[in-house]
Amino acid sequence: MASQPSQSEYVTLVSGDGFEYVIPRSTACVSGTIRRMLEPSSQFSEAITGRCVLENISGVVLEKVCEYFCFNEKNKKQMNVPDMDIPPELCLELLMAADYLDT
Amino acid sequence: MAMRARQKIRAPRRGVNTNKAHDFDTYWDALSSSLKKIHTKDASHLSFEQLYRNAYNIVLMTRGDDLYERVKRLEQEWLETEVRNRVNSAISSVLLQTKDLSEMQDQANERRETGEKFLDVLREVWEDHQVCMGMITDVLMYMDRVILSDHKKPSIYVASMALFRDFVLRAVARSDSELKVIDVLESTILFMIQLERSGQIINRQLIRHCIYMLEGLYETITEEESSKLYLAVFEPAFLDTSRAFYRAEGQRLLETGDAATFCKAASDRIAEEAERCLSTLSPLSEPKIKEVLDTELISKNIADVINLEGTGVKYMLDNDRLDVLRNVYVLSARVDTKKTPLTAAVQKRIVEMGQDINKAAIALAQAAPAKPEKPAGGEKKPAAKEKPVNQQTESAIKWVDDVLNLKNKFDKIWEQSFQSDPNMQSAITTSFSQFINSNARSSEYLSLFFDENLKKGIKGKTESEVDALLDNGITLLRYVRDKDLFEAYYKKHLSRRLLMKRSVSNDTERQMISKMKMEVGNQFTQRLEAMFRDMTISEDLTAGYKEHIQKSTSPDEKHPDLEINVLTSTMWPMETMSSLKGDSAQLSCTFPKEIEHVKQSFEQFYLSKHTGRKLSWQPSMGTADIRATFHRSTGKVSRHELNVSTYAMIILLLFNDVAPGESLTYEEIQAQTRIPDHDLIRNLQSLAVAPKTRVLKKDPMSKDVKPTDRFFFNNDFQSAYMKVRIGVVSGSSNKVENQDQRKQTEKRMNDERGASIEAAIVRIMKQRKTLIHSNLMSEVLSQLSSRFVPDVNMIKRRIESLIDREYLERVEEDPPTYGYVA
Amino acid sequence: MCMISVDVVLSINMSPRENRRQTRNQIRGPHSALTDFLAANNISAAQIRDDHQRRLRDAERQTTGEVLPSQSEDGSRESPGDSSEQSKKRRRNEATTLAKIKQSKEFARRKARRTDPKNDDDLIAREMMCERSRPVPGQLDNCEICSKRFTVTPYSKTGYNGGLLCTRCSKSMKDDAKMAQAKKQGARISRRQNQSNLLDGVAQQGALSLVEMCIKKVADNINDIEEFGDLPSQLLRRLSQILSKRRALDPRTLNLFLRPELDTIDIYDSAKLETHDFQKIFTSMPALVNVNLRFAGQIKDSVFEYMLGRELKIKRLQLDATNLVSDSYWRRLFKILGPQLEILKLSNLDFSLNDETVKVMCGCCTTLRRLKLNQCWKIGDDSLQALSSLNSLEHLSLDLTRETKNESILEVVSSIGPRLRTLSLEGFPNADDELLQVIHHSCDSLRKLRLSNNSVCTDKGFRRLFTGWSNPSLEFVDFSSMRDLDNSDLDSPEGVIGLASEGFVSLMEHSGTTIRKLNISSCRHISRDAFEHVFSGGKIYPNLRELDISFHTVMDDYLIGKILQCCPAIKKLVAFACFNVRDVRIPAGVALIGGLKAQGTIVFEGTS
Repeated sequence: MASQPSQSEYVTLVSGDGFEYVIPRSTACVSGTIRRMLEPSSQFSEAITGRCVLENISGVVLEKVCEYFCFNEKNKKQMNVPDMDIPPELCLELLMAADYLDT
Repeated sequence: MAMRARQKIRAPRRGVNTNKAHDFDTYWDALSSSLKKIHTKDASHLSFEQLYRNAYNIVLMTRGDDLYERVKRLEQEWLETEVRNRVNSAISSVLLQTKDLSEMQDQANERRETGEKFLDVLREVWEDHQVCMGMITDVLMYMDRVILSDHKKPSIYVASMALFRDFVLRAVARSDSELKVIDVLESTILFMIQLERSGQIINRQLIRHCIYMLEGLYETITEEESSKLYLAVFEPAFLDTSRAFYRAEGQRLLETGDAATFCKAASDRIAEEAERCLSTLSPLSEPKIKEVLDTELISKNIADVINLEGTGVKYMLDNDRLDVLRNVYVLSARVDTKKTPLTAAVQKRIVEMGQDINKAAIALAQAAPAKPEKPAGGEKKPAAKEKPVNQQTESAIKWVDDVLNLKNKFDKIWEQSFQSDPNMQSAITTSFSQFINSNARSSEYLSLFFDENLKKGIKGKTESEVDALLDNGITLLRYVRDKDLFEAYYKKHLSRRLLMKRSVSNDTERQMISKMKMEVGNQFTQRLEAMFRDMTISEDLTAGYKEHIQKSTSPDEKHPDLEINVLTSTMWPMETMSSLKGDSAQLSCTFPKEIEHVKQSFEQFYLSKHTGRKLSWQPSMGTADIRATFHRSTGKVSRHELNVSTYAMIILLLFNDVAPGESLTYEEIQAQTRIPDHDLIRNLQSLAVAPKTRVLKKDPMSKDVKPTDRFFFNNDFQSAYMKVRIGVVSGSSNKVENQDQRKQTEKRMNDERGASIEAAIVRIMKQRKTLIHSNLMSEVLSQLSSRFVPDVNMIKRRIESLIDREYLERVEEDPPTYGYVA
Repeated sequence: MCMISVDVVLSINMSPRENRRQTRNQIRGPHSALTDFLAANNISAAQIRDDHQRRLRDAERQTTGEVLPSQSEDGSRESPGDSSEQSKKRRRNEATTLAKIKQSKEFARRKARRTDPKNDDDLIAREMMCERSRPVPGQLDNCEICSKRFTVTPYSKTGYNGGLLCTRCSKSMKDDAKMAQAKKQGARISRRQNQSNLLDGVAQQGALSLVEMCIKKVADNINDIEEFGDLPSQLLRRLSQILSKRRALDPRTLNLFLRPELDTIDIYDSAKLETHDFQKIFTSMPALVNVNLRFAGQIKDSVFEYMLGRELKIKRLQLDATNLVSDSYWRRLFKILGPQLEILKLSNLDFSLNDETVKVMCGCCTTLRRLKLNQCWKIGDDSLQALSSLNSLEHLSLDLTRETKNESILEVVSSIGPRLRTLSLEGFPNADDELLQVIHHSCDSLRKLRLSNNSVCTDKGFRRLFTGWSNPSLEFVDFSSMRDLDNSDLDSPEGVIGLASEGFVSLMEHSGTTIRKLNISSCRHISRDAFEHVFSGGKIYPNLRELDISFHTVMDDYLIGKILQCCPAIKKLVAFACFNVRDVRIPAGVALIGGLKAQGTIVFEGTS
């Protein structure tokens, strides 16, 4: 996907409460939902603008999600990766978001 | 953990579970209108997230199943209305007509055009459907995940594909017809393929895309490989029409009557169909269509093609049509690993061509003068240019050359056209062996071929050329069944070469022997090697004798130099060498005094070394160098050194005692020398009749030598050379035997074979003690097969004879069994 | 009844032999199959012992560490203006201190840890001496990094060069260290965890999915959670699984799963639930369609009574260990719910549920698509006869305890075989080649086939089953323990007993293209040649993900290598008691379970 010159290397993820996160496209595509959202052949508005508004995810949770994207990217080739640090108070919200994003 | 204040963990709320029914409809309305927009390619204003969230919320409300069903209904409606209308409007009535393609010729163009339009529309709606369903499935991904985890329903994508199959392809093509869309699709594609087969260019890409569609759709919802519509529906129809087409094509091509055309066309068709499977249809069909081609086009026709009069394999072989032959071979190999018809045709032709060579050889031999060499007719020195007298020899060598050429020809064909197929090789070998052995003289011819080459042929050739030449000969030897006969001839010819020193190279001779050894075996060459051994020993002997003479006599005493060859009589073909008329013991000729002296001195010398041996002199084989002085009538004196046969020397020495101008009659000469008539006549012929070597004058001057003829010493002998070689007419050169000689050879051969057979029988029986007749026969046959193929009757006679001589006895009558008598 | 959790965690007493192992360097012989199984179930004697010893060592180190610093109180920190006399004395002191240090245990340990040969003894000793000569808590010192004056506390950190640090610098240093440590740990988590994952068949490359991480986190903090909110049911199922595995499903946590709008309840371990808890489930979830309660020993007649009174639309019912329910209540259940049931799975009912009840069940449950009856001790020939009438059945799993006649199962398969997609038969010791023939003739849409623990069927029978079978190729095959028990005579005239070479080869020829999961453990008559043939070069089984070849003594490194070559998708390879599997290179992402070095290092290819 990143090989298409017209596509920028970064995408913007926007939380329901308006926080924006700019992260590399490839890391965000770990999420099945975001990957399909950005699928260039489908021509949905997200694919055209490179901007994904995730209405039902709050800024706090989305930040953690983005952290996971980077964590996952970093540990791609590793064996026996320990779990990322997740604040207990966030875990249910994050679980919900992760399920939503198919991550 | 206990340290940390207990934090309440926020429970995620989406607010989806209040006022359910209303929300479901809101969500669905939003979704369904968006899904329709996707179908109308109006998606760029849609937010994926929004759609996804709607579906997600519906699933969270545990209404996922309802959503699934609604989407299915929506898709079905879309397909039934919009899509079907588009497809149906593209079907023209010509496409609905009878399926028989051959009757459509007049409408072909119309059909083709509308067909392409139809396929294009179908492709378009299919691709649209795929793309849209891909997008819709993406949007409904959350629903799919939940649905799939229950294993109850197929993914919405799969379900929508099945809808396409049922509501587009299986819909009735037009209200006035019973045909379904898929039937029209099938007949249209088959029609296009038929067009392409008849040489027209069609839109392959278009068809390929329609095939993709059939490959992407399945009969069942579980989507097994075998239930692909392509395999289940289209392919059988395709194979059926192809079968019919190629059955007709095979007939048509056969009727053109040209094998090369047939093969070319068949090969092209094979390549064409393979290519079609790759580029237009599906690679899955390739093996199946190949099978259709193999059975319909090749298997049913190949035998007829091979045997086509005038253009079949016979013609190809005769004209070295290697490329066409290769085609025939490749086609045959596809359907039959044994390639029976091709093998048979090739074999037949080889035998025919071989028989022609045999006949030509006989014809050439018979074209020679009616009187061959027997009545001492045309004396010519062998070194002289080929004359009719050697026509038989020539025919022998020509025969070998022809066979070799034939062999080369077929080797080339085998290599280049038959892909070095081992089966073909053995078939070719069998046929060669068949016709070579059908020529009774093949052994003799072959030996003569070697003889000729070893004497002259190899002069000026490089080692590798010589090697190749010999190898060629050896190849033929492989085919010769009666190796013993060949051995006999080879021995005879070899002995002449050795004694007359006619061999060009001793190395080549030995090389030849070792090649034969490798080819036929040790036993075969034993005697030949012994002959070489005798030659070497004789050289030593000659040197030893010379030394002995030098020691025992005073140096100024003049002695004729003696070079001697002592031959072991069992190893050498004595009978054939001394060109005897009969076996009767004959008196040895009278040598002149000087020579007689030398002879006795050597006998003493030899017997002192090897007691108990008997030397018998063979003057007919020897040569002598003598110095002759000619007193010209002009008073001049000229000297020549004459190289003559031993007999000729004896004759010439007689004239030392004859006064100039005096003469000797034939009878006088014979009385004084006691040379056998046969040899004497021939020697006198070469001395007095041969034009360039007339050392004697004969009166009257004629070709024949009569007992009353008188001979004078010819003082006017002229020669440009100091050394003159006077050969003896016939006998000294190897040539084809005449009828009598041949009979003799055969008789000797039979005797020898008889002995071999008896030896074999005794060997076997000694070991087995008792043996049933049939077993004994087969063992004997197998033991001797490397040398010759024994005649069964001959074996029977030998067994009888052995019983008579009480080596064997009959032990039982049924089955006939023999016992060995110790 | 023994206590068991979801993924069959057995509680097994440590064998005394295991406990006797003392030192780390002791040479270990080959593991027993038991050891491997213990390991497979996450129990490691060695690990427990190691932990214990490590604690002992830590305690020891602490004591020595505390004593030493007080010995060298006077220190040797040089200050400008010292006289030569003093410096001489100091040097002497220093020498003795160094000598002392060199004899200490701490010194030996440090030396051993250092691999650099250039570090000579003096250097190490000097370093240690410097450390000891630090100011005691309460004194003032200059910070090594920022040179500020500060009060030394027991928590003051040491800088890179041995000096003490002020609070602020300590903190930043600590953070650095933490990060460094995190980085270091990034490469490996504990060996125990690693092995445990491996034995669970997890050899994942890269991080877990965020969903999995969160679920673990939720399970960790289950006691702090009061409600799951709108969590979708597939996540609830996963949570139930993980909580069951951790034995954390009790009446309190059960409440989290009870949501009136949901139609599904999955409790994988109900062992801690009481009768009234079950009633609560049916009270609070009126929309129930799918019921899955395992280890539900406390479900009694009264629960059934209550449930049947609620007019639930249950379509899928899975009950495990409900052995206190009487047959009359089972029959009531079937009479009332039977017509709507699509899936029925009953297991470990012991002496509950008899033949008569099964007959009633078959009479009532006419729309049943999936039926599983495992370990119901009273089920016999009569039940099997009744099963033949279940015309809509697509999946059938039976695991019987009572011996039945061969004819009974033959009848079942021949009458309902054509519709079956799953056929799993365990506990049929009398089944013979005829069963295989009946399967061959009757079944043509199977995807999953299990026949295990039988020593009557022959290799020829298996070959005939798979040769020319109209059934499409299978995806799941389990023929474990199809072998002759006491006789390994391979040349017996009747042919080899069990799944042996011919059967295996024809199985793979028939199903090789689609097979995903294959269990042939203990089919010990499969020859090495057969394995070599099946896994020879060029053959590919593109979908095979799990393969169990335990107790095949012919297995060795070479064959494992071949298997790995032929199965590009393989994720889990179980090879218990394959003693010739010693040193095989396993690609990343594949879990090899068992084998001689089940606990040793397994070389991962493709990791740096």
